[in-house]
Amino acid sequence: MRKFLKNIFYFLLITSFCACDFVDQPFSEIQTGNNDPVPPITDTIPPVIQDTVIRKILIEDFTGHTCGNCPAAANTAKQIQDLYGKKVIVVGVHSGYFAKLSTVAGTKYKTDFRTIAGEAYNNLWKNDVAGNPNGFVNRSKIINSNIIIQPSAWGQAVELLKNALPDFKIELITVYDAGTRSLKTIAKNKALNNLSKKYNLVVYLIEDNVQDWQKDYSFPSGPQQDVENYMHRHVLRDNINGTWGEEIVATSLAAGDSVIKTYNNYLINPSWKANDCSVVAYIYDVDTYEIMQAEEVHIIP
Amino acid sequence: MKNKNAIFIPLKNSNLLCLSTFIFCAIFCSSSVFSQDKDVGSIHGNFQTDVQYYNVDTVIGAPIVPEKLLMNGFANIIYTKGNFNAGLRYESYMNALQGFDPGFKGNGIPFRYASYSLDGLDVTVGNFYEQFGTGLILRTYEERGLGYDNAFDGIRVKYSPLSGIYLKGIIGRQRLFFDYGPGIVRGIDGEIMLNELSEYFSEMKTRITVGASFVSKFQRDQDPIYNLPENVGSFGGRLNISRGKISLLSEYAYKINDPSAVNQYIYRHGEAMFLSASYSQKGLGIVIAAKRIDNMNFRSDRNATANNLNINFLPALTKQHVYNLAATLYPYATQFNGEMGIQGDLIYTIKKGTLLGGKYGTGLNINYSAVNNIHTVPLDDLNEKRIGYTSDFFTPGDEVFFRDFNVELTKKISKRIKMNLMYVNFVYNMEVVQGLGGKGTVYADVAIADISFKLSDKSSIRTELQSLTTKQDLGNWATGILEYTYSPSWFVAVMDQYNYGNTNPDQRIHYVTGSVGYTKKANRFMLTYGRQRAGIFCIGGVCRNVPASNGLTLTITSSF
Repeated sequence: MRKFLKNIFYFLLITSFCACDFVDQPFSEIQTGNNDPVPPITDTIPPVIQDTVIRKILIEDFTGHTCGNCPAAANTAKQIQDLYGKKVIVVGVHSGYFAKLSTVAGTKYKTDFRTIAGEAYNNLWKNDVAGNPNGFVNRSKIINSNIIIQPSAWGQAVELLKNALPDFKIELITVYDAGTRSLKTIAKNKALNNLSKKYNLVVYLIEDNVQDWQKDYSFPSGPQQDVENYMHRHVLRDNINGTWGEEIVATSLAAGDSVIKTYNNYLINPSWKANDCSVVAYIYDVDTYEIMQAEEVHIIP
Repeated sequence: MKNKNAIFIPLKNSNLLCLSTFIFCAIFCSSSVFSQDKDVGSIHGNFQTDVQYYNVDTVIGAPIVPEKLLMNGFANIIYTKGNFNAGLRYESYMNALQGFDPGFKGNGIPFRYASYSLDGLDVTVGNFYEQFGTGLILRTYEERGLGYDNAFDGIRVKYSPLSGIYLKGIIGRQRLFFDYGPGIVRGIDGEIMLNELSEYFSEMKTRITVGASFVSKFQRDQDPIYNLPENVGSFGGRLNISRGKISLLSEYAYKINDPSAVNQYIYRHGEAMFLSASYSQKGLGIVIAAKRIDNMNFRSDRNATANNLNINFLPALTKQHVYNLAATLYPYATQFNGEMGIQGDLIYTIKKGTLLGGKYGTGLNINYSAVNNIHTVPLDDLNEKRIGYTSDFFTPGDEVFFRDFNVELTKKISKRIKMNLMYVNFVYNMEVVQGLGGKGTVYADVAIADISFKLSDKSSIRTELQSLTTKQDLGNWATGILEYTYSPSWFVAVMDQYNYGNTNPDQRIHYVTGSVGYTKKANRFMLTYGRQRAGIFCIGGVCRNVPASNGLTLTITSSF
């Protein structure tokens, strides 16, 4: 009996050491200095791509000003952008429950960051039901067959998608008239392969560095969690060509062919800072919603 | 690009035929092999469907349902012969009812298994549910009303080498809707029931059970930012002692660094402790319990949230209310990241023939629970070590998550009249418990009167009057229920919930529903029509949000 119990104890002990990974510092994969074992990520992008075009990756961060865990997700998006550089584009989509305006008296959470398109996306994919923060990475289902991806897996999704080859090249040109605040956007969409599906182009207007209230649970509980001058990054302000965009490929397109779309006289809202506004354009597969290519350019180059 | 789940075949429609064939082959083979045995086994099972037709109702904020009609359906089919069992569960969501995760979509067989037991060995292959101790490091279960199912698919072996010694080993992946989570879970559990070991121990008045478990999950690290542990181990120990009217339960669990979506990717270890002491004798029961949870969210996918892929279960340690307003407006859900709680429960029967006891005796239940956060000292190290914070094990934090003081009086007034009276006082941190930023803390008083009149041997009327008063959230509510039962087959009920205290006069809405139910033998049908308010539906401290709706619901349950 005693021997038997002793055997069980040893078995448990051995198993426990075999099946645990105590992670010591450094926790980050990203290291600096001479010991850096990780080459800059831009060096790992396949060098031979038609027209030297890379397939960019769009992270849509579904967020809201009363979502206390959302600043951590925005920080994750920034870390990913720092790591992958211009390969990754980030848009903050304020939508759903946590983007509603506060009904409590005072100034907190009274700015409406919601957009018609953001609400439509949230209604379709139910991001706030899934629990914010969450988001899409190229609207791909590469993680758990689900379009909604938790911020902790955004990096993993980008890593899995980073070597995918592009089917499109998007060239964006913006012409902004500061006097009238009028914006002209030209999107030249070139097929890099023979394509035989239906694709739409969506053009976002985003504003970076918007200071306003934000709930932030990284602070100890209490009033300090209501941050007055939080810097909201990459805020989706409007869809220039509608919630679901405009068709650019109805049935097929030959490699080398281009479809040019021009959007004239879009008026930039007077309360938005033109210097911080950019246009983000992406092409998606209408059947799967997967984003095939994305591009970003400031409205004032 | 290769999907990391590609080699794992989910059990969808395409597999229905082969699975059915498998089960029926099992039945056929077993009846052939044992053809000399007249017992060919038995098949039994059950069926349930909920079908709801949704009306558009913008006044109550009911989401528009493009399909207009939604349905959840389930059927269990189980074959048993001697020591052999095989079964499956067919599920259908076309599409899932409002409030259920949209991941439940389509049809399939997410649960099928075969098992046998022989000479102390019990083997299960396929899907199974399992629990080690109270579940602090491992518990899988199905709660259909919540859309909760974290069943394993793999292998389980149970063995009892000696009387009083029970060993279990499991390995498997967990269900995620009609697919599986990416992690593999391995676990072993041993339990010794001392009093079963020998004749000497069996005569002891003190009953002692000790147990220990170890659970580890494996998930690949494909994250470009963090160096993540691919194997996360967790262990726990438990000791239960009882003697006469007193019993003591204790359990402790520890988990190594497990950065995840829920804990904001910190590398701190996790801990959970549960203590309970109870005393019971005729007419009196007292339970005092305490728990501490620190960073103990444990899932087989570090990126999972909501109710998905939980490996463990952390009990709520608060009263599970059954009356509508108390149960669905401000129910408490366990906070995985950290909480400390206590609960006291007194059940006392005032004797017959006394002033308060009256002719039939009076039941009294007093219950109090309190939950706070744990005291933490932030380390401000999220750009370096990412341990997050330090915390003293025995110090609760200052932030109140939940308070519930309630008194319930059960009184039989005459042969025909029974009465339950209840008072509840809640303090409910809505921002923390429901994650609703800006909602603050709700202070509410609830009063309930539940009176039943037996009209005849077959028919009875029951009425509930409930009132909830609060200055926060949606303000005051009143609920009235009138229910007529003609046993054994029929019941009819009408319910009105009235948000008369809403600060917005347009939202002072009556939510009226009418129900009729019919039961005949093993079949039960129920129709409900009307408005249902948005609320939180919880079972055992696990909750789901239910949006407002307006429409007709048909529920059919049946068993064979």
